[in-house]
Amino acid sequence: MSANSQRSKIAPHLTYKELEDLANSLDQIRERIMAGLGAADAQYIYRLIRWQRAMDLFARILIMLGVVTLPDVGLAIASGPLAMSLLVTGTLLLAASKILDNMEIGHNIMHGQWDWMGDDKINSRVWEWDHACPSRQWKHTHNVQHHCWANVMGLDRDVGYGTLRVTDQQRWQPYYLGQPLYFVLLALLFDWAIAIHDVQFDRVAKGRKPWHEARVLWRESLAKIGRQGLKDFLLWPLLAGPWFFVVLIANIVANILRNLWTFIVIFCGHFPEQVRVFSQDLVASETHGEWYARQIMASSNISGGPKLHLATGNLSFQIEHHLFPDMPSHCYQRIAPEVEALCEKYGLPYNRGSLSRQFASATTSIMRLTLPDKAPMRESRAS
Amino acid sequence: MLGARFSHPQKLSRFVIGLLDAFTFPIPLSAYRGLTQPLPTWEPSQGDSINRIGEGTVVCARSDQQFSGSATQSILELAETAGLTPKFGCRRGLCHTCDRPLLSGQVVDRRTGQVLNRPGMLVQLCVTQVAGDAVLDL
Repeated sequence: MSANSQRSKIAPHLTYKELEDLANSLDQIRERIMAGLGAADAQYIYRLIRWQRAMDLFARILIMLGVVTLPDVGLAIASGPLAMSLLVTGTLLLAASKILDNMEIGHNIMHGQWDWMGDDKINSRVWEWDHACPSRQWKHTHNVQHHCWANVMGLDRDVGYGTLRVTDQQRWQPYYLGQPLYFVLLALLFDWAIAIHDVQFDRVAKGRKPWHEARVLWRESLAKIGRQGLKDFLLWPLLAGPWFFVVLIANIVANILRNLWTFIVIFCGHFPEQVRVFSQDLVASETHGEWYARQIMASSNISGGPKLHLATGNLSFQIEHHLFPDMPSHCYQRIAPEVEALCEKYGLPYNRGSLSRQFASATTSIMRLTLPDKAPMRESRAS
Repeated sequence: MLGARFSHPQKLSRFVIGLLDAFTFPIPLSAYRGLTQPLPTWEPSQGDSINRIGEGTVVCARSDQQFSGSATQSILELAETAGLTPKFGCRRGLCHTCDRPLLSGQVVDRRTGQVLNRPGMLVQLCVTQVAGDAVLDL
C-alpha cells in the first residue's frame, strides 16, 4: 500500500502504517484498562471524595477555632500562637481541599472518567466543582477545544489563554511587552480567568463573536463566580462577626494558593520548551495515529512520587491523560511504562522532568517570548 | 416583608436549607451527612449478553422519536439521520459532550465492545451502537 508507506506530516519520521500500529497498541492499552475497572476503582473515588469533603469541613472548623482563640476575643482559651497556628493550618488545609476537589476529583469526573460506574451523582453530566468556572463551560473549553485540538494554533484556546504569548507561532505585538505582569496576574487570578475563558472576550473585542452569544456565557460565569464568592468571601467571614477580615483573608489565601498550584501544574503540562505546537493545516486531515502522536508531542509529564501525582490530579501523567482523557486518572501510573516504551519504539518524545525543571522551562520560554524574536524560529517550535 | 416571607413554616425551612447550602456550595449538604455512613459499593451490572450489533430499536423518550439500528453507524449518526440534533463535540468519544442517560435497555461501546445496560448510565452517542432495544433520554 503506497498510501501507508507515505510519511506523516505531523510526525515526519513515521509512515502512516507505523502510526496505525502505534494507534492499535494504544487502543489495546485503553481497552484492557477500561475492561478491568471494577469495585476497587470505584472505592478509590468514593473514598477520595469523602476524604476531601471531610478535609473541607475540618479546615473551615479550624479557621473558626483560630478566630475564637484570638487574644482580642478575650475567651479563657485565648492564645496568640495557638490562634495563629490554627489559622495557618486551617488555611493550608482549605487550599489542599480545593486542590483535591478541582484536580483529582472535579477535573477527572468532568472528563467522564467515572461515567462507567453509572453513579447518578459522580458523572460528567451533573458534577459541579469548587471553582469559579461553571462546569458546563469548562467541559467545552477543556474537553472539546483543548483536548481534541491540543496545542493546535487557533483551535486550542489554552495556548496562552488568549492572554500570553507561549510560542513563537503567535505573532509578536507590543501588547506582549506586558507579559511578565499578565503572567503573575493570571497565576493569582487563575480560577477567574478560567471562569471567563469560554466567553472569549478577545474574540468579542475583535468582532469575531457576537455579544448576544457571549452574553449568555458571561452571565452564567458571573453567577458561578458570585456563588463561589458569596460562600468564601462573605458567608463564612460573616460567621466570624467582628473578625470578618480574619476569615476573609484565610479564604483569599486558600483560593490564591489553589490558583498558584493549578497554574504551575498546567503550565508544566503544555508550555515547556520542548513541547510542540501545530498549525491548523497540519491537522486538517490527521489520522487516528497522528492524533495520538500529536497528543504525545503536545504534552509533558512531571516526575515525582505518589503525593505529587495525587496533588496534580495525576496531570503529572499529562501524556497519558492526553492519550486517554476519560480513563480513570489513578490508572495512568500503571500504563506509563508501556506508553514510554511505545514512544521509544516509534521515536516520539516522552517529555518528562521534575516540577521545578518543567516550570522553569515554561517560565523561561514565556519570558523570552515577551520580546520579538531575534533569531529565526527555533526548530523545536516550528511545525 | 420578612414576615410575609416566613409566614409559612415550609418557606422558612426552605430558606434555612438554602442558606446552609450556600455555605457549602457546590457540595450538597448530604455529602457531609454521609461522612459517617459506610462507603457505597459498586457492583458490575448483570446480564452482559450482547445482541447482534445494529439489531434493535432506540426510543428517544424526550423527543418522542425512534430509529432502528445500523451495523456501521453510531447512535449519534442515526439520531441525526432521524432529524434529531443532539449536542456534540469531538465525535470520537473524547469530550463527552454528546452523553445522554440510558433509561432502559442496552447499547454497546463500539471501541471496547462493552455493553452498557445500567439505567441512568451515560451513553456516549458518538461511539455507541445499537445492540438490542434501548430507551434514551434524548
